[in-house]
Amino acid sequence: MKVIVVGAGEVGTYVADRLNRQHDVSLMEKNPERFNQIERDNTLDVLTILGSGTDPDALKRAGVEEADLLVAVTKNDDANLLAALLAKQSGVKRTIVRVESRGLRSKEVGQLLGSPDTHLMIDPDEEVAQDVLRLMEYPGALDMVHMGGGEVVVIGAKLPPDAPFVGVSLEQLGKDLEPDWDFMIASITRQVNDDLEETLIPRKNESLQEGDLLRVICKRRALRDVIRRLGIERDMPARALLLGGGRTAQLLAESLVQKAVDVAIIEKDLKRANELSASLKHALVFNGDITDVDMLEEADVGRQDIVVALTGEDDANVLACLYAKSAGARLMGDLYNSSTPKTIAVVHRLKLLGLLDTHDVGATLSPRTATANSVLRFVRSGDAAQIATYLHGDAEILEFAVDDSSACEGKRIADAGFPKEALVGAILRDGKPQIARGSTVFRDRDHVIVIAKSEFAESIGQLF
Amino acid sequence: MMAFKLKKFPKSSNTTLHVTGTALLFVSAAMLICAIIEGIDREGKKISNGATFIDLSGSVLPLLFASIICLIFGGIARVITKPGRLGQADIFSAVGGAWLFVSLFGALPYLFDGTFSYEGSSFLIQFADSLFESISGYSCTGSTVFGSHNPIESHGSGILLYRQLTQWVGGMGIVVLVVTVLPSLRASGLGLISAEAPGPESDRLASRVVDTARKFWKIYCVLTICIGIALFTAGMSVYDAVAHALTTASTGGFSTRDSSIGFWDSPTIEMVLILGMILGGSSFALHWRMTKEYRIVHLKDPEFRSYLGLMSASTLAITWILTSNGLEINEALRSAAFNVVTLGTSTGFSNATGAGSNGDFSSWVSGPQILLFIFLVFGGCTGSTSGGVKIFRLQIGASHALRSIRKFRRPRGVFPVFHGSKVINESLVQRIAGFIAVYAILVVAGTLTLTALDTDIVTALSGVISALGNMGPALGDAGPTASFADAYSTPSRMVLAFLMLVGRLEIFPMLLMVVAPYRGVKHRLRATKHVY
Repeated sequence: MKVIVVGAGEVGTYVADRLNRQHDVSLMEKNPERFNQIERDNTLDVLTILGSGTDPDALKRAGVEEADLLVAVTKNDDANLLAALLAKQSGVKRTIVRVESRGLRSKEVGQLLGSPDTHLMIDPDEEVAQDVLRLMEYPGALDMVHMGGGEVVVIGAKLPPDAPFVGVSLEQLGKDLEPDWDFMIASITRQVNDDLEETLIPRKNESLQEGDLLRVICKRRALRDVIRRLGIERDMPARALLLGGGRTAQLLAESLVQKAVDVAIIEKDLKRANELSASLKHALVFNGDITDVDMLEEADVGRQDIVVALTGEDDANVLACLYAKSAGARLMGDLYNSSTPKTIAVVHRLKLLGLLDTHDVGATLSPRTATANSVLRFVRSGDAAQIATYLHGDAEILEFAVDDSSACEGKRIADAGFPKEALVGAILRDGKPQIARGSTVFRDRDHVIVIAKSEFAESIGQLF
Repeated sequence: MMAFKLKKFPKSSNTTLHVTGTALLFVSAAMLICAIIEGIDREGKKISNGATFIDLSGSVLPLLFASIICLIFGGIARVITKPGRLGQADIFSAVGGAWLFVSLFGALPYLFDGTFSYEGSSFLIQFADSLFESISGYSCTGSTVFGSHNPIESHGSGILLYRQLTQWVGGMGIVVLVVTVLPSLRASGLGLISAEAPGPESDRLASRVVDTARKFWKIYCVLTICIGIALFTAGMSVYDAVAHALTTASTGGFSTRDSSIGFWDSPTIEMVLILGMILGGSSFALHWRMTKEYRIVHLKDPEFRSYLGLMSASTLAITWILTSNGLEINEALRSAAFNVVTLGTSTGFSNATGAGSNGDFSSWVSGPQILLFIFLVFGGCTGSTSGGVKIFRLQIGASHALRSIRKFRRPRGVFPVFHGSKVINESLVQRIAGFIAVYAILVVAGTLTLTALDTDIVTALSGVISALGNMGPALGDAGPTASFADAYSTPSRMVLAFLMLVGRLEIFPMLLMVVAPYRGVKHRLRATKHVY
């Protein structure tokens, strides 16, 4: 499939990179400096084109006539929409548009782009805000994805030393859970040495170790049990401090205020701070630098339940989170303080992630994976209904629907011919989830949730 | 003389004169109407008396003369000028000038009629009293120098109707009235309206300012007519119903009776008036939206809600205090509600049947008096005909004060001032804070002046607040049944009259008229020094 990505920003380059594994991607960038930088870096193996997505000539050079999909993810809503409209006019069937403005996300604008299954509007900020919100509820979890209409949850967490899971072998775990499994370990990402981490799709003989990053597929009702076994807790914070007042922070604050959480925001730019304080009546807004210790103290950083760093600067985010932890530790035993604040930092540079000990900084997220998930989900829609990809490791979670023309229909899972690097996690039959076993038979209208290494994702799609 | 003035101050003063002239023409019309009505009234009496010649006695001729003088001066001023471009200074001079001249010329009927000539009154005192009554009328205050020495009811129906009409014209604003007939003012008209209209900001109701002004007057007329019909149904005569509708919609408070509303001693009439005053004291922009959207939008408005809430709460509190002091509950509720609303909307009617009766709040125990005193400061809503500081300004002032405290704890916090869910622009907050400060300074300065002129402190303080807020009655000696002629000396009354004008134009325009020439003189002096 031929894909054009417009806008080589953070989201654009990541999406281009992800799509490039299976598709033919051209990436358009109108800023010559950024264009040269990408050419020079030479990390992206895609066709890069200097030109604007709103310029029909440049689109032609990018091959818009043969393209099947256009992904417009510049920071400019209008430019994205215009690029999509131009592409549609040139015969591109499907478009993905990054739109931030609420007015432009309306039905009327959507109709310009054609029927709902031919276009997708994404908002990276919104995706990150949703992710953070989910993590707030389960502060120990690294990520949490709802699939199969919410009946199945895939939760990722790093095992702390005191977790009940530590030292348990999968064989033993399987026996414990008989006869009806409520969850299964889908993948284990383990540090092999300092630089390298390895993701494996576990088999019976594996046993869980402290520090393992697990992805667990579970039924919704078993979530509580899984959370307990993973050694993390569920806790909606009462006080939250957001560092950085970007759009993500604003969206997050709106949701938190609705859940009656006491929200404070620190924003560097006075004008933006005024805007925020005007639109968020019930949030406390500060105007200051998040790496300024006095500022953090004024905002009572040590007494917060959760601190989320959402600025565009990774170093500032991490530093502020570290400070929040230390301030919280200092205040321990204080009359109003029973625990140090949980921290969530947004990290944009994926390579930095390895440096961060996630136990100190807390969960980390990247806007681009959040966006990439939506994009990839849409690209594969038809065969995969939902998809989740991760920052850590290279596994993907896919959801497929079985119909009477599927190759696997009527076969047992063990005989269906899945590659070794893939595992069927759960099956939704008549809306009810069950954890898949080797002897389970695929039936028409089943929804199947599969975890697989990214490179096998396409080949699995052919089984359905 | 006018031509000379025009030459000396070209263009910029054009608008001032033009607006003033047009305003005088309206005043002239008002006087003429009253002269005709008195003529008809006398004609009716004459026929029943069997006399045959045309009776021009009473206030017919004085009103006619005053009308002609206004017509001549206003006409000349209007004909020889044309409106020019309006700077900020011109807006204030136009509005201030119009009000000053209207008040001056508006005193003529009283003067010609000899309304205030009684035993022992010199011409100077007559003039001062006429001016006081005129300013009290046009500024919609409702304080009066009529009293037991000079009863209201001893005067002709024409001059009394004129007195009511001054309040009606002044209520919505003489300049807003002028703007309705001056399309050539264009956008600068909004500046004029804002400088005159009660409240810190004026909403545009239509895309054109002239239409906005006309819409304000349209709602005002409809409201007045409705109140008039309701009063007539409640038992007033046609003349009294019209006269009181005029001063209810304008929240003015003049009455054609010596004992004001107490004359009728009717709970029904008081109920109608309470409703009328509440409507007159709430934003006309809200009334307009209600007629457009066919639903009661008032209850969504944070200012209106506080306005109603404050009045209801105080009514209950005062009722409770009065009943615990031995008054029967029905009577207590009636007196409390009427007096809270009449002061809360800056109207100033009285339902006291006589000094010391239930409705005379100056004879109540001090608790309820203090509550009413607070209402002297409050006034009604922005964009209404009421006076006072306005609920909106006080709300913003309070949020501003609260924010200062929060800012003390969190110096880097950003705390916008909210009104409902809307954020108030920072410059407006500053302006309101300034307004409240100047208001307070004026109250203190005025009280000092009045006490220096030998008035007791309660009467002085409440009188100053009452005048600044265009309220009408005050506490102490100037209670609802008392006459200002008895409570204050003539110089004190002139100070109060000045404060009424200052208060009616929301302080800044009038103060600028005083301060700006002073600065001009200072500049000139400095320039002279440089030359030599």
